[in-house]
Amino acid sequence: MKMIRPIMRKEFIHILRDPRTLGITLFLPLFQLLMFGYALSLDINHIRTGVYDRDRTAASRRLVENFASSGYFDIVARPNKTDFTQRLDSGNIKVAVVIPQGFERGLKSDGKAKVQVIVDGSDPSFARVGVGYSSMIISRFSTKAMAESLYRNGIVIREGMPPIAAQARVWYNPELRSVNYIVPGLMALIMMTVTTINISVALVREKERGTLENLIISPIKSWELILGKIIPYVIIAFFEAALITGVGTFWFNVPMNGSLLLLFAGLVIYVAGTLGMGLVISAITESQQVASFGAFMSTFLPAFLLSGFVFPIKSMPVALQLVTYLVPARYFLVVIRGIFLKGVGFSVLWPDILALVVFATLMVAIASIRLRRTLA
Amino acid sequence: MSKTNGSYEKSIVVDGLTKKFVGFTAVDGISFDVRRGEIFGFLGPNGSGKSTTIRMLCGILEPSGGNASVLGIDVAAHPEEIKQRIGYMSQKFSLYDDLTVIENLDFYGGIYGLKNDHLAGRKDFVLEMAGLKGREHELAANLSTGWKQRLALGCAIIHEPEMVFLDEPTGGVDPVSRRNFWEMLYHMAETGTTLFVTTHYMDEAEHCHRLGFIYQGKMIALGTPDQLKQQHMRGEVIEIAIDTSQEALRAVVGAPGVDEAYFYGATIHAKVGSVKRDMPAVGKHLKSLGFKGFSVQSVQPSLEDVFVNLIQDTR
Ligand SMILES: Nc1ncnc2c1ncn2[C@@H]1O[C@H](COP(=O)(O)OP(=O)(O)OP(=O)(O)O)[C@@H](O)[C@H]1O
Ligand SMILES: [Mg+2]
Repeated sequence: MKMIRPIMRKEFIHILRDPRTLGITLFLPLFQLLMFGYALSLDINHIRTGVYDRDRTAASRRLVENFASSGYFDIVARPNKTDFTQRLDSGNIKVAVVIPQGFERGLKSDGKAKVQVIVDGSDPSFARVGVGYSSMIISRFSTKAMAESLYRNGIVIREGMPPIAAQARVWYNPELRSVNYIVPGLMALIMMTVTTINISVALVREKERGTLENLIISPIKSWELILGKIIPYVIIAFFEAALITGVGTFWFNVPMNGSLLLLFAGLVIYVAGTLGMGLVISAITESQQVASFGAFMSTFLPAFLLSGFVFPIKSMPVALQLVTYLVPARYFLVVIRGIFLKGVGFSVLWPDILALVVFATLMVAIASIRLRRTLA
Repeated sequence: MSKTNGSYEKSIVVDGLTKKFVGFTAVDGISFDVRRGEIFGFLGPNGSGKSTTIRMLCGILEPSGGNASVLGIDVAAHPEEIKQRIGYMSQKFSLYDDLTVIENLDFYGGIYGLKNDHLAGRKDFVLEMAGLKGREHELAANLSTGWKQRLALGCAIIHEPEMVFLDEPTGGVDPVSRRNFWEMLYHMAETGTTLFVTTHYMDEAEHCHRLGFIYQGKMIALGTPDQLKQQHMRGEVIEIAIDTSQEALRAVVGAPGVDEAYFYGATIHAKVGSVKRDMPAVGKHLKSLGFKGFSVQSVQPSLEDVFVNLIQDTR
């Protein structure tokens, strides 16, 4: 056990003196956090919108006014019929609202008024949001119109007696702020890439320099060597997790509804797996370049694309959905989003935690078999 | 043979040691021993199995056959017991470039379990010995190759091993640094450390107490430098100072009485049955072919002559 200290001390010196490791470990996560937190925000508003109002009545103008004042839509054009298809084609506008003739009349008589909303579907997530917002505005408008028509027919709606209306509520993330979604996702992504890349490079570097041979010849046990190498990166990983949680909750106001303890436990299991993976990579590669590239490809890309971080798993093709079961970040994402946003506990999250335990056990087992071959 | 400290007679005893890799034998049943406090030179061309032998003796590579004991301990049965008592300096110097001189020593001292006063004392000794006093806080990366080599030796002996393995410790180092390095090795041997050194340099080999010559995994000669020269040199050597061209070499080979000829530094060496009989004939032969301005003299065979011979005999 006493031999672990010199290894750890040396490892910290490597980290502090190597700009690349330092960058990957400290600045990359912060950079990602700010980049995803601000620039790549998935929140959609100020959608360029064209209105083709063929009714030109008080009612139609009121509806257009509702769109404009929502903040989601910017009315940038009032095209005529041929013009609005062209503008949609060219991407000049993303949404077109077409109010047909007889809109007001329909509204007043039989309540069968129609509005057409055309949304540019070339970006599906954007289209989904566009459709959602516009139907929300329209339904609000129609509720009000219904109340007015009742009033005209002699029925007064007193305060406290709202008209019957479907009220959609979004749970867990009521304002649909994407940063709430992104920060926990980033935690999954960063913890995985940073630990895997760093640990694999840290061991392969010794192979490349030939210092591994000296370590093997020394009386130090291979488990002491591994622990001494891993512990600094685990400390850093938890420092990073704390940083992300801190910046996320205090700076971006991401709610933290669940148990910090469960979050910590989840992290321990997850990091055990990613470190195991880093060790496996270091056992089968001979150069730092190959190791860091391999670690990056096998962690960042799956964790970014196939975990549900940016693209919802449910909307992937079935074959790809099956692949996601092999991506540990997928399970961790469920756990961490569950803890942050839903505040749920072990009773709900256990299947995903179990999957992480399986992943970690597998990785550590493969790593120790492979490393025994390299280090013995 | 007992395993307790200090009770062994020979530092290394090797008997029929063999290492097979898939498809070929890197070390093929070699046998030799190394006495306490001696500098044993292990020579051989590239790929002949030197490093493989050292790895087996250090207990990090399992032999495929035969026996080896180091400091009286069987390497295959108890590799862990040897580790604390031997030092190893690898072909690549194995330093941490981004650590300073003192940090490298601290680290290697640390993994051998040295602490506090003991570690401080050893660091002081090593810095003094390697002439690195005053450069403690320089990064290893900034040291020249000669100094790196001294530091690497310092790291290898920080824990006061009884026996040190040095695998081509002077590769890529200038002659002055090599001489200084060997001074350190002599000094260590005088104070009782046993040294097992591999090298390509014949001048270094001359400085060893005893030599083993390995070729294609087989030990083809073993003994003191003088013994090797006497036993393995049938015939005598003449040195021809001439332009070292292929043409000249061919001419010497074709001369009457010459068994073999090869470049030797800036000259050509030829092995002949008898200097008295063959030297004049060689000179005449070269003149008749139109060579001018050369000289021929008889020389004492060097180790290099011996080894060229040995290899030619084996072929
Ligand atoms: N792990 C291994 N697997 C297969 N072959 C190996 C292995 N290690 C060494 N060899 C081969 O064994 C032979 C002897 O290698 P070794 O490193 O012992 O030679 P060497 O005498 O130290 O040479 P050099 O002077 O170049 O260092 C070489 O042909 C080498 O390619
Ligand atoms: Mg070698």
